[in-house]
Amino acid sequence: MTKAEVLKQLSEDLDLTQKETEELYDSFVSGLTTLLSKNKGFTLPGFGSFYAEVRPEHTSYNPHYKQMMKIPPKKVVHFNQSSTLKRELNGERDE
Amino acid sequence: MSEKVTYSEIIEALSQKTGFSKNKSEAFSKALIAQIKEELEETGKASITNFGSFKVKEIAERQGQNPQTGEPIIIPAHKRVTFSPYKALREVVNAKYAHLESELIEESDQSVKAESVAEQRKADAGTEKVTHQRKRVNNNLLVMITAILVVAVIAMVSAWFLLNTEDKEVAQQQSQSSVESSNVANPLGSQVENEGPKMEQVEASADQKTQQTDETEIKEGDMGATESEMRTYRVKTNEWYWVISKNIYGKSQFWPLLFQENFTTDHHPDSIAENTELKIPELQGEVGNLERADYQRLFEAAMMVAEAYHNAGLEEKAYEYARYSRNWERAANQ
Repeated sequence: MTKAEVLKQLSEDLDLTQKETEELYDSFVSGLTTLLSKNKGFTLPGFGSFYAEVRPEHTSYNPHYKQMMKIPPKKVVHFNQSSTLKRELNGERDE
Repeated sequence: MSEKVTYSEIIEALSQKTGFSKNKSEAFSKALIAQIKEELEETGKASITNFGSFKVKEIAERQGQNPQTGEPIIIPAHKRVTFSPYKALREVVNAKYAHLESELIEESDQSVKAESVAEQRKADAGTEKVTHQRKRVNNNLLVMITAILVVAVIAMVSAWFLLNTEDKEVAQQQSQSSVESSNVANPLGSQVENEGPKMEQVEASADQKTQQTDETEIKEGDMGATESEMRTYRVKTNEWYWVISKNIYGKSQFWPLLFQENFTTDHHPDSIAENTELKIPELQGEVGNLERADYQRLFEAAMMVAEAYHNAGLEEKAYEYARYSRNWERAANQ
């Protein structure tokens, strides 16, 4: 599904114009991005939680060079699915 | 860990930013989440533009252990949602560390060469204004020198090891692995051959080292007539290296030893046939109190498993075992 399709669907659901929906969408995404870049985690209820974490410098095997390399620190985003989402995904199958 | 921001704070910020009411903002985020969920359930994947994509991943049934009791349990097949951030998000989040690059490691405990490389590197860091091209050349140089140092380390360690053991089998394996790694180093060497006279020097010294080991091997081969028969183990149904290793050594982490003893890197490390006769390598020390040779062996075994995983196309596991092997190596050098 493309962004345009999502926006169209959302604007119908929310009774907003597509332009307004796009404004909300972009602010929402940029807001979440800023939060993560400021090292702040958050939870979207019923979906999952996001947090950013610094992966420290470590050594690791590089298959290309076939030897160990020093990998510099990097800040990465993690996602944890919520238990609700997990149940919804797997519960359906058991029934 | 990072501090958390509550959902209501997010909604409030959103409504402030856009000028919509809080109700409207919350309705929006709810609708968006619902939309993503729906899409995930229907097609198995969904994405938020400029943020990231979500995917439903099927996790196969696997054997695990109860973390409290250590009792083996079967974790049933299930689905989970994975998230992979898009470039836009990755770059913003990682902005602080974006300038860093990964680099090859040199073995610090070896000879003058390592020091000279380190000095060279310091000098580089001092001037800072090295062009990109020159960096490339330096990297090549480092690859080369590191490869040779690794060969040298392995050669010396295996020489040490050979003098300390009477087990012929092990001796052969060690020599094999040292030959293998020198093979790895050589193609690299031929790549950078016309780098200048300095490279040739280094190569020559590496050759000397390998010759040394060859000699020791021959000596050892003559002496190693006291070959004892190895214990074997017959694989039962649904048994994996983990379980077998636990039965034999009391520690499941030692399974690479079994793999190293019985298979080559072409063998898939996740497959084992029923009724296979496995040869069991004996430890030099006790399980709780390993000797240096054991650590060294675990290091090589884990390295081999990593390569086998790499050959089987399982990069994640290859990385994992390469990391283990690094730990064993560290233990061996203590």
